[in-house]
Amino acid sequence: MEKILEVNNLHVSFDTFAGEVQAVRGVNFHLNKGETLAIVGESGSGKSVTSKAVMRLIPNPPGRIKEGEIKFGDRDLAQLSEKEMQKIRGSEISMIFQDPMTSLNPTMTIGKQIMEGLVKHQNMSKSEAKERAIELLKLVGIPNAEGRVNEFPHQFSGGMRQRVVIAIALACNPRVLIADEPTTALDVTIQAQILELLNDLQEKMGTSIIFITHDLGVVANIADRVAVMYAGKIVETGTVDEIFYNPQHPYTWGLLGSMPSLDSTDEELIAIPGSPPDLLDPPKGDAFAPRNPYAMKIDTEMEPPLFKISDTHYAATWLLHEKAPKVEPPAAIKKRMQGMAPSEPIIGAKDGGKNV
Amino acid sequence: MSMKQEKLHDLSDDMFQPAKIDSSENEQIARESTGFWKDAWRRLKKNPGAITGLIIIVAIILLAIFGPGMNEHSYSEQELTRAKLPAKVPVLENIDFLGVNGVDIRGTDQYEAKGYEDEYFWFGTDEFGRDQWTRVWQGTRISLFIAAAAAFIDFVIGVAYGGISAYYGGRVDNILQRIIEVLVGIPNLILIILFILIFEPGIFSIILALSVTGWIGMSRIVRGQVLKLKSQEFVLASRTLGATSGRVIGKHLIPNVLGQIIITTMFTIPSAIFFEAFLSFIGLGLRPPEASLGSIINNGFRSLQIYPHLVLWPSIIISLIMIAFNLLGDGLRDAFDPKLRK
Amino acid sequence: MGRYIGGRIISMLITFLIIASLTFFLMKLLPGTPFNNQDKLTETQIVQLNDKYGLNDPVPVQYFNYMKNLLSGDLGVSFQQDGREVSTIIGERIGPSAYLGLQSLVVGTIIGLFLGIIAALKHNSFLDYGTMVIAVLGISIPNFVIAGLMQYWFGVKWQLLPVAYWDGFAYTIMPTVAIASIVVATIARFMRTEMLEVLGQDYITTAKAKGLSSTAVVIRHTIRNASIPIITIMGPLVVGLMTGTLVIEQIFVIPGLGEKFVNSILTNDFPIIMGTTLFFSILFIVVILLVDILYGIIDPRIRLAGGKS
Repeated sequence: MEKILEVNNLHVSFDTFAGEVQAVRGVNFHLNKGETLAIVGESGSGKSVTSKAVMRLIPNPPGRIKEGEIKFGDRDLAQLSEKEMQKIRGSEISMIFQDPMTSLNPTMTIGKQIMEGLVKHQNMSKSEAKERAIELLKLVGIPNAEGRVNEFPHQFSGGMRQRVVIAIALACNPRVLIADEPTTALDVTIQAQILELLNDLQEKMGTSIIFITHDLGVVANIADRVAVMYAGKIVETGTVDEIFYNPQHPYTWGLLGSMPSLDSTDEELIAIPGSPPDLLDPPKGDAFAPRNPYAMKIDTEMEPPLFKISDTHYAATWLLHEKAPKVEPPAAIKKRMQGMAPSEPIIGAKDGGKNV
Repeated sequence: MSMKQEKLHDLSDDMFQPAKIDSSENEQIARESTGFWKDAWRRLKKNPGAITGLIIIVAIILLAIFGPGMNEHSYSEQELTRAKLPAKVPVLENIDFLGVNGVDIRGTDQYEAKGYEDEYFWFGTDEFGRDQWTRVWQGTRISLFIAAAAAFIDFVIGVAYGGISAYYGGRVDNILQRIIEVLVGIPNLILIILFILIFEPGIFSIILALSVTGWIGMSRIVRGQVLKLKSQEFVLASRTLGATSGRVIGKHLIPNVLGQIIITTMFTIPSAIFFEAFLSFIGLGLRPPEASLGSIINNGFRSLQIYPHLVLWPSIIISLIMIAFNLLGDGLRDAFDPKLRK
Repeated sequence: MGRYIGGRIISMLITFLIIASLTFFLMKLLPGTPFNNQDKLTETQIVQLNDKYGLNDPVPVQYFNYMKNLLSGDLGVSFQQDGREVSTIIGERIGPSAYLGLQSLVVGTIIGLFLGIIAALKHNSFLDYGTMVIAVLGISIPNFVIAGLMQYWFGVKWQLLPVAYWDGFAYTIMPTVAIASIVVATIARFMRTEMLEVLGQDYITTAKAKGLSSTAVVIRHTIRNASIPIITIMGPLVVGLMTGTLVIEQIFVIPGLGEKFVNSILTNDFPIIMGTTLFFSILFIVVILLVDILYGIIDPRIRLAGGKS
């Protein structure tokens, strides 16, 4: 499969009065053509920072990309000038944001906001851009697009606004779309509509999507692969099936355990104790150790490397080391692993959701 | 992607024993919790502008209290033979560029010319030969008194009016707010001028005039804060947890409202000082021999071209007072409401 | 919107009537007689003059006449200047005041916006701190102090600008600077805060994510949105300017309305005091109304909210 985007050893830090906050501490991942990669993690895990870093939208100061490369085709986005980056933003890589209520300019008609990118990147005339804007509004499912193109954001509901945001992002047919928690601020019913829209559009336009979320339920609906982030690092990465039915990292266990599911009513939710570490002063060893009931001595001293489970599945936990004791995952996780062993044919939630 | 796997074989077995993780440590909140006032003071201390303002204010208040008594001249003691002497300060008189050596702008030493070689008038003398240092600090005293009194009246009326309006709500609130709407429609400048025209200029009429509309701002802030707090979730939360009204008022209402009140007062004082000075300029200020900073500056303007020191010194002091209160007010606003901080 | 403006105009008229009545009755309470040369006047002359100006009528009759004249635009006649119409005097005097006020407002607003924008764009830089210092000084230092210092240094000592009077552009420079200082400071400070606020908004990130140049983001999205709320402080600023002109016209001996007003206070010329007071009040009320309407027109959120209600 063709890799469209590859992030290697990305470090992002913020210089604050209290000191250097290492928000992203050596992240590696890649995005294949036409696939959806979900980056999952708690707030503060660095997932949004990672996505903003790819777009080079980290405000500097205080933020800066300390090291690492972001390979997009034959270019390294981390090294491009601001001018060169402006040509890529919105035309080759686009982004949609969490809160549709605040991510549109309140004093500009939505038509103008869509047209801006078209005029800039595709040298369209105003009238061409307007026509295209109306087309885009239709594409994202806004009724009466001709009339509404001249309206202001506050005249739209939250779900409709997110559709407008998606129209802006897709205006120039980008190759990569980064969706930073695009459904978090929406009602559940609207969430499903937006996810469906993204799935549809991906099929029509062949865009690759990086989908940032803290909600594993959403991941099942949309992603092909998943990267789990914790404290500025990716701790486990694999296909959706691997992550859901053969998770290896105790943090992933925790995330899955804290996710309610409809099919089993007697299942108890498991909370992950404690809170994420202070990235001003990241702990020595495995950052998850203080919250990890399976923590070993080595966790407090050395950072675990990524252990390979399959060609697509890696996890950074010492539990995978040959000398580590065999531990039993929590009951709920075990049930998942047994009940849906990868050998069985899986009808993944993803395929069900996609309606292929 | 993966690290050099072969190196990992060297790890000793005991490294893979379960670690004792003290989970309570993880739950600890790193910083000690501080009270509202302590926290505000801690933030204020970090603001150099606010601290400068505070120091200037304290210094000027001390000088306003003790300044007039620091030399043997009284504020009304006239002696025409020594009129309009420039400033002359011991020791500093030897430093030329400070301009406090008793030499006027045409270069003659007025002290020598008028036969007062041995005297020192630190800010010079005015057109009646009165000691300007004494008069300026006397004037500062009166200006500060007027401002403080006006701010106090604003505080009393504003807190009562706003508090009643918000506390009773409904019809009472409605009527009280309509009255305010009418009042703010009238330019306060006009009201103040009419008021003083009727009651004759004097310290108390000026204070009253400044308070005629001054309290409106305070009452709005108090009302807004009380209404906001009444509906806020943490108040509801503490009520749900069984807090008494007294505790809600003492623990939540007063600290939050008081912060706003202090900030408002910090901005009322300089604006009152400015308005008082402004009244002097339009002929509605204090009548001599009583003097405020404003009236001293206004008098000085008559002979600005030849005796700039009569305007210079009181101007510097009134400006310092205004700057200091504004700096402190800004600092307090940031300290009480860190969210607003930019 | 139409209904809203209609309602506002009605409440404006009510406020105006209240001010007019208040002015009238307060004037009646004033001590002293309105005639400047009363020592030379005989008893009968005073009675005659009182008759002439209707001062012997019962107060309600005077009030009624006063309000009737007022509604037909007649502000009465001056007691001091041989019965000249107050409206004529205001007409003569308004020129320099209006010129000075507008020039200060325009120059001050432009400089203030410029400083505020630069300060926000170069947040926490030397330029930012410099602007904040200017803002604190401009807000704090009274305009008469600025006027006095300029008059002494630029006028007397270095003789770069005329010290006083009103005779061409050079004479307007120092008064304008003195009055505009508060405008520059207020607007710079307000604009900086608004800019920083807008720069932190999500839609700015959206605009950047579209690939717009920094200039386009700043001009089309940031400055535009940040300057809309500036209109809300224009009302109070214009009132501040009126206060400013009163003093500054005194200091620079400018034959404007403010200077006339102050002199009328000193000579108890009631009709002029009343006329000017009412004139200032109308100006104030109209400015506030215009600001509200303008805000509604410029900000689409308010425009539509107003239209729906």
